[in-house]
Amino acid sequence: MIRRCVVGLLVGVAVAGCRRAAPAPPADPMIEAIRAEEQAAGLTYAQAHGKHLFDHYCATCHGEGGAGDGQNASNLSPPPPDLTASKSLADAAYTRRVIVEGSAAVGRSPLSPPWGRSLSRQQIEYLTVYCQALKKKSAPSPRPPSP
Amino acid sequence: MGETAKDRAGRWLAAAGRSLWRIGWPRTDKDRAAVMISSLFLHLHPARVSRHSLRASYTLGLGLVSLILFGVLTVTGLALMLYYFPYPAEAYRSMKDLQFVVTFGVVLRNMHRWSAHAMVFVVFLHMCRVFWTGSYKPPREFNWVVGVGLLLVTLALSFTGYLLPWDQLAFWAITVGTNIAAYAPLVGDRLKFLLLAGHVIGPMTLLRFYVLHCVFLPLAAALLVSFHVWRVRKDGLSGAPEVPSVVEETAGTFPASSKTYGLMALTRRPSASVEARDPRDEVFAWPHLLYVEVLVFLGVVILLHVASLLFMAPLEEMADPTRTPNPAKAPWYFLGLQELVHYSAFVGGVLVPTLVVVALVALPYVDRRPHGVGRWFAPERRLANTVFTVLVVVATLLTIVGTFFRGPNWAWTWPW
Amino acid sequence: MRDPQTAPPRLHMVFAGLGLGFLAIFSWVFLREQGAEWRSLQARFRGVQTTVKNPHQLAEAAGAQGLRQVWLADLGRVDRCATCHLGIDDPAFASASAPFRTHPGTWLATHPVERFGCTACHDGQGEATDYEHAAHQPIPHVERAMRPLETIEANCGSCHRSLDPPDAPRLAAGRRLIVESGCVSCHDIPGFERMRFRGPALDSLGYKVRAEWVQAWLKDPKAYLPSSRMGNFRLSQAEITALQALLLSQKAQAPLDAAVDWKKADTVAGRALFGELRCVSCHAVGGRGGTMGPELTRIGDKVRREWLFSFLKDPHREQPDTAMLQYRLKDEEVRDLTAFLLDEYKTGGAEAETVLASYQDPRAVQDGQTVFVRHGCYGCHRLAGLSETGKIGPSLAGVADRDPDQLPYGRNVVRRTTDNYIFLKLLLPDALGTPSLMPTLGFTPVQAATITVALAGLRKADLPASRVVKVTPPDPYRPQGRFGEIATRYRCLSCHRIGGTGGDLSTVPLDRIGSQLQSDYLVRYLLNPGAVRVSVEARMPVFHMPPEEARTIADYAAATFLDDDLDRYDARFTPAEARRGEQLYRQLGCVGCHQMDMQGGYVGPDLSNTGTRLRPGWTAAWLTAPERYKPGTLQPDYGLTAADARALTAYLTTLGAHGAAPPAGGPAGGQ
Repeated sequence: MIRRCVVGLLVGVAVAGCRRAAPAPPADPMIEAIRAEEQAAGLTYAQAHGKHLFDHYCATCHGEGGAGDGQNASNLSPPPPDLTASKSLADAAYTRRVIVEGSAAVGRSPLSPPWGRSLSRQQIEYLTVYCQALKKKSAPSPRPPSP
Repeated sequence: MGETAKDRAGRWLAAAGRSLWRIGWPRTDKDRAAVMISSLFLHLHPARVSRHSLRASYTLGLGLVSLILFGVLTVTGLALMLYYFPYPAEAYRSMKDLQFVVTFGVVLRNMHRWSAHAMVFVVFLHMCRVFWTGSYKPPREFNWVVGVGLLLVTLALSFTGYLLPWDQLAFWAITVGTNIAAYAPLVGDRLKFLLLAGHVIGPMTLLRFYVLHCVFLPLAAALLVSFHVWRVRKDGLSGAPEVPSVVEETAGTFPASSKTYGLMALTRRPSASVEARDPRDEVFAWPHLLYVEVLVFLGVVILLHVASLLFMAPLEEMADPTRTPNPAKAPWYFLGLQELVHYSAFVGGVLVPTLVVVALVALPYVDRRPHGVGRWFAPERRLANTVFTVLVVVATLLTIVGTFFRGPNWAWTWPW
Repeated sequence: MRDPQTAPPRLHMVFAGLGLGFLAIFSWVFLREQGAEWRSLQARFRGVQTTVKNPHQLAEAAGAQGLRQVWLADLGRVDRCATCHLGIDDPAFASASAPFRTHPGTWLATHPVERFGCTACHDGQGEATDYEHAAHQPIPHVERAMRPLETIEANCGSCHRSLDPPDAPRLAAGRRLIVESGCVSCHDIPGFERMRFRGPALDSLGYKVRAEWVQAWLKDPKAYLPSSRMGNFRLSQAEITALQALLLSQKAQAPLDAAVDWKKADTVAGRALFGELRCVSCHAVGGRGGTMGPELTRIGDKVRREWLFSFLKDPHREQPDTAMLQYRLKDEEVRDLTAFLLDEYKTGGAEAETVLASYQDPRAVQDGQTVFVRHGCYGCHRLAGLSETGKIGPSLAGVADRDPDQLPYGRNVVRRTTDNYIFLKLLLPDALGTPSLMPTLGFTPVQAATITVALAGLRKADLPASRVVKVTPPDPYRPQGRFGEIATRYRCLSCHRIGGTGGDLSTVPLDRIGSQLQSDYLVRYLLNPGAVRVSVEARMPVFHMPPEEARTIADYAAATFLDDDLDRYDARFTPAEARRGEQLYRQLGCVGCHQMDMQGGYVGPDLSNTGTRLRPGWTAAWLTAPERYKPGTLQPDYGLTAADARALTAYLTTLGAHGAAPPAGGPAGGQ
């Protein structure tokens, strides 16, 4: 009799244990903060890195958004192309080649210099990815320059 | 007409078979007795057993299940030893290897784990059964004491094995467990030092526990089990039945009992198991007992496999002495003690365990009245049974509370 | 009637059932082993392999069979990820689907799998051979689940301890933030041992500021001035009052007692001077300008006139640690500038200052000192009569290995990870349920997350030394002699770097400046610094330097800051070389960035006067390997041959050579 009670109690405890409601998945605010920023810019991880490089190396001529409206653009002849409307950017190998060997390597003006020796291969990858993203977005979102 | 090749092969096979299996498939009563007596492994059984002791509702087969679990643990344990390094980080990595790369490693480890827990539980139940049926009474007093020893060895085996995975669970359970041991007066600290081979758990502790777990304790267990079973064999499978004989009901259908059964006839009374009973109340161990044993074995092994496939043995992060989980809990079978320690270190750590062991050992020499043997909750033993049952319930409750109802800082929490 | 000595038929049924059960369970065990996730994935991979490779390649490729692992003995890691990620280092799988896709980027070229494994960068449980247990997503009892890309750079920091890996910009940004926010003032942080963050010395604050300002500032510095570096220490009103008393009682050094006729102050002249001295290179006003010095937007509400005059006249007397240079200004000029600053940059019109009596109360001052010490203000600020007593905050060594379950998270329902803890601590130091002395520094969530990335690589020091990428910085450089006096006065090292010491506001380290610039040009430039690069906002200030000081600097540079490799260059060019250089100049498109005769871009410096400006050895070396001399420069490396570089140098050397005025020690005006 008593044993039965004990067994009953055990079963009761076990059942109660199983019924424990699954708690809502807890938040990861740190990652969410970074994701929120990336989403605001509409860029992936690699593209975000590419953007940093683009802003540093390319934006003076090509412009922040790649539209060919950088502050130095007016001094150039021919002027830098509007990357957001460029069709050749769809070809990653072509884009990479222009970045690495300069525009002269694809038979254009020599004004876009070769960066292959200055940038690491990884950086060139990032830059390529970002340039291609410029192409895809018809209207580049204007962003205030980060502090 | 010459002998065909088929005949020759048959004869050769029969001869080869006889070299292993002298009796052949027993078809007569004589063979049924002889087959048990002439085999090393089967002769632990008597040739004949009483119908009473065969009844599942009487023994519940708990002793047999314990023995089977011990066998399973030995086999799986030996297999596990092939993959295990008794050195801190390596030990933990062995667990991961078992889980992720060793063929059947998961099942192997799970089975060892669950068998170990099951054995502690079943051995405890076995003890309860023996008490509640009064089976420790003369002439089985000493076997009860051996049984108590086996219970302690089982706990020790489980406890030493608990550390070996070297995860947080293991590390802190053993820390808590050995701290309980340290509450013993005078020798407590030394006992702890002896157990841990140091003041805190370290590589030496792991090695010590490993050797204890794989060599000393299994040897001790094997010895005690052999002795325990041998005493059972000599004293009879279980308490003498005081139930009405079935002879009247089935009279005339039994074969004549004038036979002798090999050596059995030579054994001096009152030690032989078949003594003082109506032979017609008995059946041959072959096939009745043996068959049931095989069935129980199959059942246990199937259950263990199912458990091993469905439930993963716990494995937490690697042991880290700098990170104390809250609460740190001992293995579940010591959680009753830990719960007591929470109220009073002396009571839980020293008084209760000592008293329990002493009482258990002294029990058959104190309670010598030969009444109520072989029956569950015999009315003649109401006092003894009541006291024991209350103790069992209290122990169970304490363990349940310690396991499920204790949270951080050992504060009361609801498990749901 | 059956034979009682045979077993009852019921048992046969049980036996049959159990036997079948036994077989079933054994088959289950076998099937489970055979049906392991990785086995089926490998089978799928063999299918994918045939689609991306030709038969010849297939024959060469090792069959995908069995477990694959990388064992890194020195890290104690076993990574079996390649058991499923079978195409990870094979470019043929670039467009395959997960898990067979090639590793993106070029990371495996610099961090080959066989040397670095996978979990060293990605975390997760490398031993596992199935998706779930590999901890692609967080699972219980695996301390480090795989990091998402957003935070993966934290692991770069585990090995790259003091060198910012170029391809981990978030880590670099986090480390920059750590330095800028002054974390090192209160915490020991591995990799930042040499960093120092100093707020202004406070030992003469009683003369410097107005009493109301102390009150407003201590209450919440960021509310007073959003660009403030100082965080909000969440002081009680009593603490603020006590501190105020202490600070206003600090009068170690009285302002210079110059007889100034403030009535004659000319704010218009002051405004002109403010522009001429290029104060905004270091000081922001209205949110625009440099960040080296404090923002001046509300300086009129803050400082007293006499003090500002005194400070502008000799900043180093008051603040020996300041980065601010000492201009050579006349008293009237300082007066005008002071008047301009106080008049222009203030919000309130009230001139009258309430005089507090409390700072004369020694008990209040004593209380203030207690508060000062309790909040660890000494980490940033010097106070007369208070010796430094170590850092108030705990060391952050191994912070990433703290037990996430034992850290406080306050009422925030977050996953318990050290990352989230550090993040919350940075963002809301007071809302984690435990009292904290850490100031609220007003980080945005992204800033806090970025700093977290930099801190989350600070593991316990169990990494073998061979894995640590560490560059020990050289001993700090201290300019000596007469040059040292001048350099200290003008605080050259606030912006320029010599021997690795100094600020990085300037883009030009001075280590080999003597071999780069012609001495006469340097003199002219120091006397009247113009903009070499138009597009750069920060400019060298106009020092109003006497010519002999400029000459001393130029001579010292020409004798000390040399690079023999540059000086040994044979500068006897032939006209043919110069002509070819001119061709090259056009061919390479240099005009896109460089001005010459009012033509061309203005990304790089104007090259019209190169012949009088640069030394040819430097020009050639720079053209050959710009990255070597200035990492991150916008000058592209065209991979010029020595002959081409020489030709270009020859051409550039001819530029402006005839128009240069003789340098002499005369007054400025060479440009």
